[in-house]
Amino acid sequence: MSNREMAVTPRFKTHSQVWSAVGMWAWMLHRLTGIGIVLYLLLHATLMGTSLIRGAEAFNATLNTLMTNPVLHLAEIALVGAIIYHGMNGIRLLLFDIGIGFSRQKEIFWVSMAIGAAMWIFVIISKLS
Amino acid sequence: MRVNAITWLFQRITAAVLLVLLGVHLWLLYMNNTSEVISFAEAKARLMSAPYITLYVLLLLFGLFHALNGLYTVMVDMGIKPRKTAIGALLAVGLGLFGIGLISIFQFIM
Amino acid sequence: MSSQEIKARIFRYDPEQDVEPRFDVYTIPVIKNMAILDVVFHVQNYIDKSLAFRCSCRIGMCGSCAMYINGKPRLACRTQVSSLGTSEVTIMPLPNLPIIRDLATDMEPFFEKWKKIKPYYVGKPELKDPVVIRPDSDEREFIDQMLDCITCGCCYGACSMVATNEDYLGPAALNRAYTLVADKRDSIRVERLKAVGRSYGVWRCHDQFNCAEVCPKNLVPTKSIQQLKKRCVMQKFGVFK
Ligand code: SF4
Ligand code: SF4
Ligand code: FES
Repeated sequence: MSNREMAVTPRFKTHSQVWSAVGMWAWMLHRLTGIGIVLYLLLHATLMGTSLIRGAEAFNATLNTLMTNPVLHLAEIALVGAIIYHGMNGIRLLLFDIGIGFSRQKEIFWVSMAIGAAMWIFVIISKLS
Repeated sequence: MRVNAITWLFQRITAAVLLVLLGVHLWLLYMNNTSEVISFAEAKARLMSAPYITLYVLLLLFGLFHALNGLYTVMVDMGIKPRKTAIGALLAVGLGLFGIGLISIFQFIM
Repeated sequence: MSSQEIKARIFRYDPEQDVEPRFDVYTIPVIKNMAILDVVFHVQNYIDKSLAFRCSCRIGMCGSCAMYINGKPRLACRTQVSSLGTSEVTIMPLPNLPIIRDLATDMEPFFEKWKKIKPYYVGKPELKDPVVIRPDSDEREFIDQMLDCITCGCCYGACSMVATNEDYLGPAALNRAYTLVADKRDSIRVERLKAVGRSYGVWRCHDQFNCAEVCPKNLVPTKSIQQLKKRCVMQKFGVFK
């Protein structure tokens, strides 16, 4: 194969990633929680919107089915966890964007996670009680 | 497309604002709710004032932008090719939901 | 010499002959201060002459021996076997780059992107040499460190954004672009800034820090990229000239 040909034909590459680094997982989770929250938001806005437009009874009926379902209550805890993660890591990313914390990114990650975990536990306890 | 810098900046601004707005939204739901199931009358009593309406309109607008622009970012990261189509579809979803959302928020003051 | 041995799993692939890549396992006696580069040399010298890899300086200066070693891209010549803390080592070619043979990757795409940011200094014609940037200014100190890049491609192989979007310029080229954009004597800074401000430029970086994690020169391209993003926004509002 000539050099020219080799440069244009798709060739085999590996795509091994760096799994041992905090930043990789922080990014990955940010993505996953982000996509999860978008899907929820679309559902949430559609459900609330369509039932509200149909009036008070429809709204009450929808909320009644949603809020009495135990599985959905568990899902809600996961959702709040995702929002807290996305928000806490989001603060970390905003710090980078204004030029703070590049040399301490891992520590900042763990501190924000500790605060986030405390918030999540608080939500879980107040929900269960 | 030369709007990258602007959408990037808006993504950060909406992020910062959402931290506050979503915080308030969640706080209201968890701390200010007495009954098991939220009813329309209850929600209406809470939402009828101008600051709350403003809060929810902003939450809707900023939330949708942050969410859909985030989704678009993921698509571009994955190397999506028909970008115009993707932008069009996301805009349609966003505007549609914003419309529905606005109408439904105003149910509370009518 | 100690009687210790290590087990090396080495990625083997010849695109012109093999349908699929495979791993060959070699048992290699450990010598004092042995680097991974010595491991692959041992295989080539005494076990299988056909093993392909690239190296030149052997002292971490030329940047040609980057490989994916036990889970991350590193320079083979600067990675001591003892530093891995295990007697099993997996050696693969640098990710995100086409494979020529075995451990040798084609750096062409990496340098094509390097070219896109115009990696050379273009002086303002009205400036007369020598123009001085005070060596003790903050800006200068930051750039100094960023200039240490040896174009090894470790960061390029580590970045997930490069993995998923093959147009993304990648950390090394953007880092280089920043050292020039920050140079007030340069005359094509705005042009360069526009080149990195395209959608395949700085906006693909999501502060993942994989590049900083693996850079053998301890650079933090993430920080250079953030500086570029800031300047792109400023330029948009006409504050950057
Ligand atoms: S920035 Fe570091 S890892 Fe990337 S090419 Fe330069 S020296 Fe290698
Ligand atoms: S910080 Fe940016 S350039 Fe570096 S690995 Fe992460 S996404 Fe890639
Ligand atoms: S051989 Fe030159 S950097 Fe490793």
